[in-house]
Amino acid sequence: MPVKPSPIVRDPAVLSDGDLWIRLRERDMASLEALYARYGSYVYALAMRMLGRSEEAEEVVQDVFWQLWKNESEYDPARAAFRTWLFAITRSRCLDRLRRHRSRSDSELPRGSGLGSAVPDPEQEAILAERQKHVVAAFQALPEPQQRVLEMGFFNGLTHREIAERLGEPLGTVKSRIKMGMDKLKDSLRSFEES
Amino acid sequence: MAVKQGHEEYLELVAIEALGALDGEDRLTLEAHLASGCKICRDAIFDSEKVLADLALAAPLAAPPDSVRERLFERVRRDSPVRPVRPGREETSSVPSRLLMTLAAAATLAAVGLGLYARTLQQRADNERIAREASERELGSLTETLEAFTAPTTRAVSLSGQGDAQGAAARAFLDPENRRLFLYVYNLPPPPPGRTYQLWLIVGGAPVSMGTFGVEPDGRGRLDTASIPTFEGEVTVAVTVEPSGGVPQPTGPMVLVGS
Repeated sequence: MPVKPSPIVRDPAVLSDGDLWIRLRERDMASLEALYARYGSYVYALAMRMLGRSEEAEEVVQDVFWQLWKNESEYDPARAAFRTWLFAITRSRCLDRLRRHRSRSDSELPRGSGLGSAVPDPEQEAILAERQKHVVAAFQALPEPQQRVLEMGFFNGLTHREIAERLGEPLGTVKSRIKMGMDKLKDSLRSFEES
Repeated sequence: MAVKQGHEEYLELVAIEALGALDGEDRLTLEAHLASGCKICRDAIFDSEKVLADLALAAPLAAPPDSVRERLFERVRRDSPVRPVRPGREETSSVPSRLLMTLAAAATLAAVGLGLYARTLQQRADNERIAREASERELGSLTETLEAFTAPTTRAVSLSGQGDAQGAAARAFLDPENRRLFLYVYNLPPPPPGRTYQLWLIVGGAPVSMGTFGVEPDGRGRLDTASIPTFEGEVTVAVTVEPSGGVPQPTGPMVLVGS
């Protein structure tokens, strides 16, 4: 792939995700650096929460941003926000690793320290920080059983059958809780977007 | 499974699928339903996945160590013949730029012709240095790849095109010692909008994702990963068409496969 020199950029950190993405497609390393500065901590935090091991979380961060650098053309801005796509890739990498581990040892779930509300630099990441606060609030507003099944599915990578087995609950109950939790989460986050 | 009125029961499965937690008979049920062309459920999965992705923000924020960034950008630098450009510092900290400005000022004071000549020489020297650094990085990368290809434990797998991609072909080189895999793809058409190609390593019947990749307009594609699982015995390498970003387990049509 031909490589273009980076154009003069006064401050890529202030560019939108979409603008950075366009520059990244032209192999602009400054844009990758800006995206890493903006999302590196979120990608690492998600990997840590899912995998529970810093060495593996670090590998995931490297894998994900390397993929950005190598496979720019996969992201379709018409279908999802860049952030959504980036987190989906991160989670997919973590799930691959979790399932690989599970085939070796099924004894223990990696556990994080629960939900957090740390606020990143407000100047550069005010929107993300606001969104994060709302996501945490929306999640914590769910009834505990619904939080639990979503957490086990999203962060621990368990299937609905595995969740049912571990909780000792009927499969139908787990399915209903996932559906209800998801619906409430969607409503809550949509109301935030509309406000 | 008895189908309730409307989409209610499918939408329950849709929520679980978006969470990435659907398996077993329920997964087959939903796949069959989606294969029948239900746009409502497809849109619902997509919609739910967007909401769920933001759950990532609920993880306690933690910064990766500086060494992660350093290793990543060292790798990016090796991959790119351009020098790294740091945000906000391009116009003040570049030594070549300062040198060029100095030369230009001297040229103005002395003689326009001499200045232009000096600047041309400097530009040529810069270009040659950049090209030499790029060649060195490229050589280092090729040497690393060649060592992996020629390692005694490396396996080569030929993949042949399937279905609509009958004309496609690929070669995969698996270096289990260093857990590396190199995939070279030929004549593979670009994936449909919103879709990507995903590589799978199938060991003992269990597919493990090796990452996603795209192809150039001429049908060529390449994937290099350094995290393949340890394995013994027979291994199958396959490529499927999946939603952008990839999926935990294969869901789409297989376009390349080889053992």
